[in-house]
Amino acid sequence: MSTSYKAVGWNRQKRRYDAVIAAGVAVYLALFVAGSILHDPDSTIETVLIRAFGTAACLTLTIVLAIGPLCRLDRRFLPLLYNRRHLGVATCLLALAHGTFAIVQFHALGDVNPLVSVLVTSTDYRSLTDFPYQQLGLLALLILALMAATSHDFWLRVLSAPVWKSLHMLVYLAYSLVVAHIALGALQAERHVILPVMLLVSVTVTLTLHGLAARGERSADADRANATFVDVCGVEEIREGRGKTVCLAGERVAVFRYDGKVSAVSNVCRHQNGPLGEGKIVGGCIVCPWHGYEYEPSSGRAPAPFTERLPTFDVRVERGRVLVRPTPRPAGTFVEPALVERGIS
Amino acid sequence: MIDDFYIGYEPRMPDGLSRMLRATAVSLAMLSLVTAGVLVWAQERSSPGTFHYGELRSFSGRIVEHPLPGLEVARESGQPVWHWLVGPGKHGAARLVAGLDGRHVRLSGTLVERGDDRMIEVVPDSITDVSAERTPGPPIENLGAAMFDGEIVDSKCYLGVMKPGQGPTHRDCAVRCLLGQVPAMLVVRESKGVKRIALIVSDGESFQRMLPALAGRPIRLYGTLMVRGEQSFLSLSPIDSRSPVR
Ligand code: HEM
Ligand code: FES
Repeated sequence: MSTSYKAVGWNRQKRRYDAVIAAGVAVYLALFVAGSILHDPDSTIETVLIRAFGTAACLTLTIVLAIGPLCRLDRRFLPLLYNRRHLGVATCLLALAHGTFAIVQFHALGDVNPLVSVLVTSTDYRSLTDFPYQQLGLLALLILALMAATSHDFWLRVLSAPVWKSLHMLVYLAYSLVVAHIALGALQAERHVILPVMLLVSVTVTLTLHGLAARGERSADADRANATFVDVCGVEEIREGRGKTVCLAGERVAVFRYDGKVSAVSNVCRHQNGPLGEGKIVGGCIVCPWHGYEYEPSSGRAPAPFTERLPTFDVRVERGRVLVRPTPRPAGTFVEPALVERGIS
Repeated sequence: MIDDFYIGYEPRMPDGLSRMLRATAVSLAMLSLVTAGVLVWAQERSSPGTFHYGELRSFSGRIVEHPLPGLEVARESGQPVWHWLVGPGKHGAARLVAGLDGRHVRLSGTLVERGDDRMIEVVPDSITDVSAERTPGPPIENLGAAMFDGEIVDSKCYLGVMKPGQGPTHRDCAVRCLLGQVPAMLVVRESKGVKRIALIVSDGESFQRMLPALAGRPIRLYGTLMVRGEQSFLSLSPIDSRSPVR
């Protein structure tokens, strides 16, 4: 995993990212609390805090979900992705504060254990207006906590990438639960029309961004036949030191042009499935655009002491066109890069 | 085409990206501030009750045990003032005042006020006799059948301990309070404002346990209107007493 042991440690960019998150959250909470007290002097601080934390968690969760598709649509958003997990952990902490305050306020000091009370007090699952909305929030919080607890790369290795990735796809379930939690809970008590409109707008923006990003990828993947060597693009279409993502036999392949040579590797970064085709060759290695894992383009291997390996692909350059064989070689297999000069002449 | 490439562990990022990132951060900050502002402005105003949390006071007066716990706080001049009594947390005061009906006592607690209603959250074990005499209160009078549309709430939260102390988001808490024997009230919206009537149940336990399931939603209640001294109550009988209204 190359220089990435630096990436899991602290560095300047991460510290700045976290400082911005912390400052943003602090300003939001302060503004919400001060605004509520001034605007509604009869309010109680417990309720104000519950609402400040709950809405802050909902906002950061929406931003976390928007970062992925934004990066697919415009690579200049990638710096937001580098440290996305910290925003995820912040979301979990905000939600935890909201949930804890809510459980204490609404369920503690009664005749049963507060957590039991959340589960047994409302059970009218067929009603929209009386739905146990707090149980939806509890489930969402459990998912966020599970994700935050396994967010470190240590767990990625322990659980294996596919399991980890599926676990973290649960964020979409958590988001749906939060939307239902708000719609069936707070919005049943509030009367101002702007509140459901805001929820609807945020859901629409989230869905639209994901839809646009998915459509972009599908059209780029327009399937090519499973022939021996497939013409994927002209050499000219790949900028020096950059890659191009193509889809061959249902698998994404990243084709790189560097130092007069062309190599092709799997597009899927071994770290968290980042899109290597959007990476760059730096110091002779492909650098992943997400967290900076490095791979040698000809062998798909991370430079020592790291051990990640990508499947590689046979590649030729003929008359200015790049040809790739769709069958991957086993991960880490050296493949002679195609020479651009010879191919063009 | 911009050729800026971001590597997170490099000390500096390319200027183009840095500018883009700053612009994004500023936009997100504006978005959250506007969100906070709109949310604060659009949410429902809180009800006017006050819970004087952290201010323990001493009260003296005559205990009323039935039909619901109360304290008639003596004043130097004029009528004594009725105070509902509840226990700490989500508990009523029935156990705290058991057997004390008519006794003149001193107790300490925290005041809850909303409009004309007053309530004391009694500190358990703080009730001491002021005199050995026992003045029984007036008998409970029956004013006949009555019907009201409203919402069942737990009196403690409703009178100011929690905001909001009624409605669908608060329902779970109302259920816990009612199961903990905090007196139930019916909140009736009238043209002149809001009227609150304390609820009592004529067959005790079993129906008492049904009240929570009906809290926090629109409901029509049939019963018998009762008064004892200054206080009126709606006495519910399990048969025929409820049907939700929309
Ligand atoms: C144990 C878990 C949770 C519990 C017990 C819980 C409870 C509640 C309660 C009682 C309310 C209504 C409060 C009021 O009257 O204003 C509420 C509202 C809300 N919740 Fe949760 N919640 C939980 C988890 C979550 C999570 C995970 C999120 C988002 C990530 C969330 C976001 C919100 C939002 C945005 C509102 C509306 C604002 C408000 O009224 O506070 N909640 N929640
Ligand atoms: S470095 Fe994290 S996905 Fe590639």
